[in-house]
Amino acid sequence: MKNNAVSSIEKMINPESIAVIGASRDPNSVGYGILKNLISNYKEEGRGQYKYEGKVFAINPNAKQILGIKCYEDILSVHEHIDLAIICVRAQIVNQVAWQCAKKGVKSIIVISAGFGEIGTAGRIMQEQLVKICKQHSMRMLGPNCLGVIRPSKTMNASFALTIPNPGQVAFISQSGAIADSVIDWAIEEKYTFSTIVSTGNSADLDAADWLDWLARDKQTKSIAMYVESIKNGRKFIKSAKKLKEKKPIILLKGGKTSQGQKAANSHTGALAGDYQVFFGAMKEAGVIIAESIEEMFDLARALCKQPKLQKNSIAIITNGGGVGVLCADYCSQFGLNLANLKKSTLNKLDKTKMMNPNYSKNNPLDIIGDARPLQYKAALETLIGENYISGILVIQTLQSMTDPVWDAKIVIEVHKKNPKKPIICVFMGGKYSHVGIRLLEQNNIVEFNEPRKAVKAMAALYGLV
Amino acid sequence: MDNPQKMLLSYSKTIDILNKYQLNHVSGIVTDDANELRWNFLKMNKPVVLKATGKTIFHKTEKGQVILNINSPEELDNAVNKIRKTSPANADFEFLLQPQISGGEIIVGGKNDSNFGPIILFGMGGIYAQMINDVATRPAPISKKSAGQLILSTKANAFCEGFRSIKVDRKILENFVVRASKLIANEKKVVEFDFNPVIVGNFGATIVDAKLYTYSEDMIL
Repeated sequence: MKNNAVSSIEKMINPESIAVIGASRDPNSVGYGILKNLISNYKEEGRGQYKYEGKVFAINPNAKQILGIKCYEDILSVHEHIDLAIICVRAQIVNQVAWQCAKKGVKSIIVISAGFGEIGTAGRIMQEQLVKICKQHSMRMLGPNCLGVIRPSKTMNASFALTIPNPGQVAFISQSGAIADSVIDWAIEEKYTFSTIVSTGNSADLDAADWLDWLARDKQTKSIAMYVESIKNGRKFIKSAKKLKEKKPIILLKGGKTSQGQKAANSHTGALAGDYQVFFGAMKEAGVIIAESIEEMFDLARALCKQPKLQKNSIAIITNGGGVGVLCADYCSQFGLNLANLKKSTLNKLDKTKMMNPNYSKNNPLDIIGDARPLQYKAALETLIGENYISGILVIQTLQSMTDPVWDAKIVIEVHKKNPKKPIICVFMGGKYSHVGIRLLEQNNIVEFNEPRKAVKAMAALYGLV
Repeated sequence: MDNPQKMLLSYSKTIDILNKYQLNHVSGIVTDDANELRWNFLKMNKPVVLKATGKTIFHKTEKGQVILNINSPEELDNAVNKIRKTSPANADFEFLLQPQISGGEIIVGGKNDSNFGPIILFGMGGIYAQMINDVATRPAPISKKSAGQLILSTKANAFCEGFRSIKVDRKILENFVVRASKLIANEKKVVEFDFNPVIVGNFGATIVDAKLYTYSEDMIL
């Protein structure tokens, strides 16, 4: 029977039983870390205690018990059905172990072990044999040389990453295990949440495109952040990414942009169309958004999963500080975002609210003046978002003595609820005193940035300009 | 394994392929006979340009093998002598005599990428193309819509908007890019090509210099 990529990934993400082959007693080993991650209780502020609910089997012929659970000599000695085998033995015996998994009828394996294609010819030959074993038995593989997968909503940490971030709507696919690892720690600190984290490693069998195909159907995932260094089957990737284009944005960060290896070319095209140039063109065709840094990748992934698309390239800026408004207008021009010209009728409506400071700017950016109180924000925001010719709004709040970040945040949340089809992105500049307002915005799915440029770029991404 | 040497398609094979994909190009006379050049020169609109052509002639401008602004028979004779001097005695080359046209200079190229397959390149062309480095690529063949986005993403878009006295119909340029992308996607024996420059203006887009590369011996004759 054919085991397609999507259904085998489904088994990796939602397994009812997992075998850890190479479970170890050494607390400094990967085999110990993975087993511990799968059977531990996790505690998180506001979420209480939680744990992976499936069955976990430890495989180690030299131990009787590890972390209080029984060890089996090999996977064939386990009588129960195994959905997923995680292999973390040394490279030399991986193929033998994989063959046993196939014999046991396991359909999905994750090979954590390194020492394959990434180390040269000898490793490459072993990797080819490993792929062959998988193909012959319709078994699909993530890795080798990877960190594993994490599914926060299931408390499943099938990796040797330190812990699990909270469940969310952003999927992160990383070719680098180390980046995925560090991002998790950072995410916990920043209250950043994920639907899934996958480290693809050598992608000898399942590759990034297969994961995109699965993510297209994953209900938890709303946007996808990706770190890649190379894409082997470019056309397959474009096809998978194109299918996601309208539904779930992909934000990609490319490592290895510089083409040092480029050989002297005797044609203009050969010299001009370097590896990154070709890659970039292919991503444009696929509708993938390119991020310039790790931070930007997650900024955009977060913004794009929380806010609706910008329907028309026509936005308004509401600010209580002239300077930040000017900066935002500059960035809009840089990213190709158009600022709507406020119509006379709109200004009349604003005047009619009787809330505007007499000196307000009557222009876009709409400067409602430094002493703006929450009700001035409310009047301005409700008026502008109600106009057909304005498709999205940037709300800027600079901090003055009379500013009320929490009330301002509540107003933004309320207006957004009434106008869910128009994106609102906030810039609540400041630190300590804006913090509570910012938390409130984030909890209510409004994206906020402390830096105007990031906010404008996120808005531009909502219109596909990045 | 040795990498085989990339070779240039012969002039006649090049013209056949350009015609097959309806890619406009400047017509020219290819000969190694100076008398034949003079005879044809008299019948042509001036100025004309004289170039060297042959399977190993790659960087003509750099080697002084392109002589522009030829208006008289004397200038033509001088040009013939100059090109002969710059070319090694045993070099396998002929002369190519073409009318000289002016307009905006763009580059359209194609190549096969090991990860993404055939790709099309578009951007600012001419002898400074590499220095300006304002090009973009897409997988080939390309749709009309993507061709439009490709043009918009480089500064060469200004030629569609109108720059100085140069203005090319956007639709014509899009079609040109689409057809060139079909060339690289469909012609298995053409592994890479450069049209540089392609001159654009109110007459449309015309290839002045086309180099098609191949590994197949039968394409160079």
